[in-house]
Amino acid sequence: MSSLTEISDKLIESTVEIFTGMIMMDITVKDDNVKQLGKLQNSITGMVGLAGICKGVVAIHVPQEVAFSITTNFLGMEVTEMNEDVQDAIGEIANMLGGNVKTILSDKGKAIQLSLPSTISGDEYQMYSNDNVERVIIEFSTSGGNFFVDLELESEPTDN
Amino acid sequence: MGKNVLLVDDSSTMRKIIGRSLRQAGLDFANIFEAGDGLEALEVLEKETVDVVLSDINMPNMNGIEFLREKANREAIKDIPVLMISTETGDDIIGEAKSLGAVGSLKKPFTPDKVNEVVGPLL
Amino acid sequence: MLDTYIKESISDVFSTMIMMDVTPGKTITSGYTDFKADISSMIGLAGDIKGMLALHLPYTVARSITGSMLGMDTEDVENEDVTDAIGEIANMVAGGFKTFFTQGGKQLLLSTPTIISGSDLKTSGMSKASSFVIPLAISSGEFTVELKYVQE
Repeated sequence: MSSLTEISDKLIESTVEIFTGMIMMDITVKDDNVKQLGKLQNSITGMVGLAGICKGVVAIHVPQEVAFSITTNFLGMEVTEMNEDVQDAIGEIANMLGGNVKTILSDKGKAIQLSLPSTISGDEYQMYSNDNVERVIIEFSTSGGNFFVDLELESEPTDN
Repeated sequence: MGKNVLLVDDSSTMRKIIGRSLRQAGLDFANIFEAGDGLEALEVLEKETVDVVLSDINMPNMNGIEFLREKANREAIKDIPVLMISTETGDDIIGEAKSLGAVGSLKKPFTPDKVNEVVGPLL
Repeated sequence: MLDTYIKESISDVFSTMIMMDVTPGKTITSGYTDFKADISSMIGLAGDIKGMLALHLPYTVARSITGSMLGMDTEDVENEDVTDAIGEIANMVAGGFKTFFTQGGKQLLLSTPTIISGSDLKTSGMSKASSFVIPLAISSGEFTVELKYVQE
């Protein structure tokens, strides 16, 4: 398996591909190694689980205003409030990131499976991972604001 | 252009996304029909004139694979081209879809150029 | 059937690792949205079923369970202990569920746990999935376990 730095670079590539290719939004990397995420405020998080030979979680954390802007571009229609379209759009981005990470981590992507994407949103929340997990957090900038991509991978395999 | 497309996906958000991608690919359809699962898709195909179908694979009630299977049994609609939309589905599911009549697939994320390349020739 | 697996798994985990009595309530199959949770731990499921297993707890209940599991007084329990413990419990409950589910050749793979703290959180996704909620009571209060899944 690749080192965390190689995975991080490919994760950046995947995110850029999704945003510029399909969502039609330019994004740049603001910080490729965010140390700690802290409390998320007025945000929405999309996530999907990775299971199989690699276990982990892929998540995207987006402040609401940025989520509206992303959804507007993604759907080609103006979105200005938290609704099912925003939830589905953010969940879909997490799902595509998960699909790309799956391919990055295992050649044909067969030995890793994704669970189903879900989202969580609220005024204030924090997401934690366990000790035996390596975490890579990347901050991106868009015209509508910044968001985070968060990859957690189990560093020592357990037998689940 | 006067052509009609049917979008099959259980997420209405995803259907809007695909619709937007088709517009951005420069493909101007006269009508964009929508269905939330394979069963609804078959109903639309029986009722309306559809030139191409873009279908998700995982859907409740009747998934993309079952939809292809059932469609192949119906004389009036069996020849309408179907493209499968997938995220990280393995080659084996796409292979199965093709053996059941799907003419190709679009893997997410896709660019407008890719959409044009895959959908364009079918119109 | 699936809820039975979960109830058994919880019973195992609580009697062996947490040393607390837990009483499961009646499984709720629809309409439950009022989780009253301050902290949730989720494990993604893949394989012959895809979805998520989650524990939702008020903070006081989470702290008392953590204290019992770690052999500490509840007052000495730190936030980090709670997030670690709740994550580990979700992992074990999911592991037990997996053992029951995979009897007879079915496949189930688990992701790593995600722990989220915060109140009044809205969740979405898996809208077409089946789901149920099991309410559980311990001495310090109540919590719930939720399973959302699609069977392929």
